[in-house]
Amino acid sequence: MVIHVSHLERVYKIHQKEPGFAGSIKSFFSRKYTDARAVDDISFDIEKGELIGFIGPNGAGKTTTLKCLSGLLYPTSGTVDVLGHTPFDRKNEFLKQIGLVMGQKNQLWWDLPAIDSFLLNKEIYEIPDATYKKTLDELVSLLDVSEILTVQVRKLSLGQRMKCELIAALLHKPKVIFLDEPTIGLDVVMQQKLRDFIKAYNKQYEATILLTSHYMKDVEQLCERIIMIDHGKILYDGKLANIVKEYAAKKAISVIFTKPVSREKLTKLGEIVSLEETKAVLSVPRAKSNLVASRLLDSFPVEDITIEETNIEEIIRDVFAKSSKS
Amino acid sequence: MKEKLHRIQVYGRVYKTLLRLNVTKLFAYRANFINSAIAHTIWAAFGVISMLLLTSKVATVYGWTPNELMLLAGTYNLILSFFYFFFSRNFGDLADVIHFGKLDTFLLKPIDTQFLISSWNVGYTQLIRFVIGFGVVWYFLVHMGTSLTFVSLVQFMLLLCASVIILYSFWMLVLTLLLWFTNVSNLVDLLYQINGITRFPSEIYKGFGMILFFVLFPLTLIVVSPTKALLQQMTWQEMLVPIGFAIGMGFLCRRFWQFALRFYTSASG
Amino acid sequence: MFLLSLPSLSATCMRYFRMFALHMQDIFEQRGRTFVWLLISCIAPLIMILFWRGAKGVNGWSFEEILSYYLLLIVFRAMLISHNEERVAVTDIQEGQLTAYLVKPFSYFWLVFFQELPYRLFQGGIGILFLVLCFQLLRITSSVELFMLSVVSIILSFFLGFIFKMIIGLCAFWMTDSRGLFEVVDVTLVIFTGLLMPLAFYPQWLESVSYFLPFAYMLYFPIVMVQGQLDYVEVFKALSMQLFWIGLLVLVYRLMWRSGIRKYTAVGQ
Repeated sequence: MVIHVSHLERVYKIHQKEPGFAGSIKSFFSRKYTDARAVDDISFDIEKGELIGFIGPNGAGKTTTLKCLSGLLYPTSGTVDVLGHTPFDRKNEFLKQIGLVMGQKNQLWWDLPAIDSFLLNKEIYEIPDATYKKTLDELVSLLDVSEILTVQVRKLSLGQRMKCELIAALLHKPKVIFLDEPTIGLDVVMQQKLRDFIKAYNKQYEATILLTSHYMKDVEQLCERIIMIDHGKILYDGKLANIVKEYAAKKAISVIFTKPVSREKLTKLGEIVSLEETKAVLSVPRAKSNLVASRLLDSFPVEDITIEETNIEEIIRDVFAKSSKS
Repeated sequence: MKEKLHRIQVYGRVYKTLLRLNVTKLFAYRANFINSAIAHTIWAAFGVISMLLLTSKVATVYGWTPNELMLLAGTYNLILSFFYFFFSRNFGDLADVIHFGKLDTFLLKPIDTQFLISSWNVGYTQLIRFVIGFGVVWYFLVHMGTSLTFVSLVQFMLLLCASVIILYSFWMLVLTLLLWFTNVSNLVDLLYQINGITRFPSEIYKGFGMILFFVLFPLTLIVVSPTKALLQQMTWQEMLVPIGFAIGMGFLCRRFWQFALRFYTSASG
Repeated sequence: MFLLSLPSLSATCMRYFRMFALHMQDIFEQRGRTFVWLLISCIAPLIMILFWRGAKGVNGWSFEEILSYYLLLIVFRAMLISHNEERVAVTDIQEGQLTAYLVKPFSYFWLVFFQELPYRLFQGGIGILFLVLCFQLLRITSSVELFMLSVVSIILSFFLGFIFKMIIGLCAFWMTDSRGLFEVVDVTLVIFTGLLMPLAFYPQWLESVSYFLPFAYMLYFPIVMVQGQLDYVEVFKALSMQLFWIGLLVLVYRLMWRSGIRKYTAVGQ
C-alpha cells in the first residue's frame, strides 16, 4: 500500500466581507470569519503502480487533498501515509520520492534554457551524473523535446513548456507523482501527447500516479480507477467501467427510418425518448439493447441504426448534480 | 557528522549552480541589466552626494567631522552592497513567491526552504555599489591620513559579516510576516527606508530617538561599528555587541520562520 | 480633452465620483498596506530631524524651524506627491490597458486624476490630524493672509506635481522600459523638492539651480510659505512661478499626448 488516507479532514477559516463602501469601512476595523470544510472525512488506499483519476468540480477538495498528500498542508484531523512517511513532516527521503506538477505553476527559470533548470534540480535532488544522463535521455525521447532543451523557456510554446516542466519534475524518478490539471490550457494534439506520455511513464517506471483533471478524456484514457469528490466528500471510489454499470442502467438507440413509422409499434420495443418523422431515439435497458436493435432491424424499415456509446461524462455529471442537490 | 558534512557539500553545489544560473540570467535580458545598473549607480552615488550636501554647511554632527561622516557614507555603500548582492532580489520577490504559490514548489524540494528563498537570485549589478563604496572609503582614509592596520582590517571583516547577518535577520523577521499578510508587499519598501537609518552616527538615536527607534537599535550599529574599526576606534569588547546581536537575531529569525511555515501549511487552502 | 460640455457635465461628474469612491474603498480594504505606506513616509524625515538635532554650526534656521520643516514635509509629501507614473507607463501604456480607456467618453487625464485623488486626500487627512496633534512643534506663520496664500500654493503644487508625473508616465509611449527613467526622476525629486533638506541649506549655486527648476514648486515652497519664512514679494514670486510651470507643463502634456496617442494607436494595441 503506497498511499493510505484515513478520515482526512481539512477545515479552514475564510473571512466574510459585506459589499459596498460601508462594508469596507467595517472590515477596516473588524473581520468576521466562517469555517470552510475543504475536505470532509475522506478515506482511500492506493497500491503501487496505480493510475488514479481524481475528479470533481472546482472547489470540490481535489487540490486540497493533493496538498495534504504531498505535505504542503497539515490535516485538521485524520491520518495520511505515503510511502511509509507522514507527508507533513516533509522529510528529505520522502521529498526525494515524490513529484508534484501543478498545471499553472512552473518551476523552470523563465529566461534560461530548460536544461539549466534541469541541472539545478539535479543538484537539489542529488542525482548522480550517470543516472541523470540516462533518465534525461529517456524522458527527452519519450516527450520528443531534444531540440528545444537549449531554447529559453520564455520562447517556448505552452505545450513545449509543459513537457519541460514534466521532465524537471520527473528527473529524480519519483515513486509517487501528483498531477494537478496537467493538460489544462493545451491544444487537443498536445493533450493527447501528454496522455500518451503519462500512460507510458506509468507502465515503464511503475510509478503511482494521482491525477486531477477537468477533462473526461484524460480520465477515460488513463485511469482504470477513479475517485469522485465533491464538497470535500467522496462520492465514488472504484473502477471507471463499473460506474457505467452502476449509474447508467439504460442505453440509447438512435434509428433513422426510410419512411415514417407508427408510435404504438415502436413503444412495444422500448421507451421513446424522441420521435420525429423518420428519426427516433429509444431508451432501453442495457442488457436488452442488442435484442431491441435486432428486432428493429427485423420489423422496421431501418436506414441507419446506432447503439449510443454510453456517455461517461454525462453519467458523472449526473452523479455530481445529484450530490449537490442533497 | 559525516552526514552533516555531506549535506553541506550538497548545499555548496546547489549554490554554485545558482551562482552560475544567475550569471546567465544577467546577460539574458539586456534591458534589465542596463536598468539595474543605472538604478544602483544612481542610488549609490546619491548616498554619497546627499552626505556631501548634508555636511556642506555644518562643523560637526554629534562629534563626527564631515570627513568621518563621508567615510560613514562610503562604508554604508560597501556593507549594503554585500547584503544587496546576496539578498535584495530574493526579498523583493518574496511577496510574489508566496502569493503565486512558488513557495509550494520550494517546500517540496529536499533542501531547506529558507535557504532556497534567500539564495535563489544573486544581484551581480550590486558590484557597482561596492566599487563606489570602496572608492569613497579609500579616498577618505587617505584624505584623513589614517592608515589601515592588520587588526583594524580583521575587525572590519568580522564586523562586516556580523552586519550582514544582522541585516538579513532583521529583513527576514519582518518579511516572515508576509506569510500571514500576503498583500503587504510594500514592507520591502519600508525596509529599504529603514536601511537608510544605518547611514548616520548611532549617537543620533540617543534620547528621544531611542524611543522612536528602539527596536532598530542593532541596525544603528551595522555601519558605524565597521567604520570605527577602520578608524582604529573599536575595542574587542565593543565588538561583542554587534557580534552578539548577529548571533541572537540569526537564531530568532530562523525560529520565527519555522513557526510561520507551520502556520502557512495549516492555514492556506 | 479638458473641456466638458454642459449637458453631459453631471453624468460625467457622477462617473468621476464613482471612480473616486471605488478607490477610496480600496484604501480601507488594504489596511495593512495603507498602514505601511504611512510608516514609510515618516522614517526618512524623522531621521533627518535627529540628524540636525546634533548638527553644530548650522547658520540660518533654528532647530525648532528645522523640526517644523520636516514634520510639515512628512504630511505635505504624502499629500502632494502623486504616484501615477507607474500606472500610466506600465499598466496603461506598456500593457495596453489604455486602449480600454480611449473608447470611454471621458478624458484619460481626469480619469487618472480622480483615481489618484482619494489616496492623496486620505493621506492628507491623516496628515492634518497628525499636524494638529503636534501643533506645539510647528512654526506656522501668524499672518492669516499668508496662510491663505499658502493654501493656494498647496493646491497649485498638487496640480503641478500631478501633471509632471503624468508627463513622466507618458514617456512610455517612446520607451520600452521606463524603470531607469523612474529612478532618475525619484533621485531628482529627492534632491530638488527639498525632501533631503531645506533648499536654503544647499550651496549657493545649487540653491539657485533649484529655484530655476519646477521641482521646488511641487513641495518646498508651500512648506516654507506656511512657515512664514517668505515675505509677500517672495510669496507672489513663488506663486507666479507655480502658475508658469503649470501652464508650461500643460502644454508639454498636450503635445506629448497628441503625438504619443498617434504612435500608440498606430501600433494597433
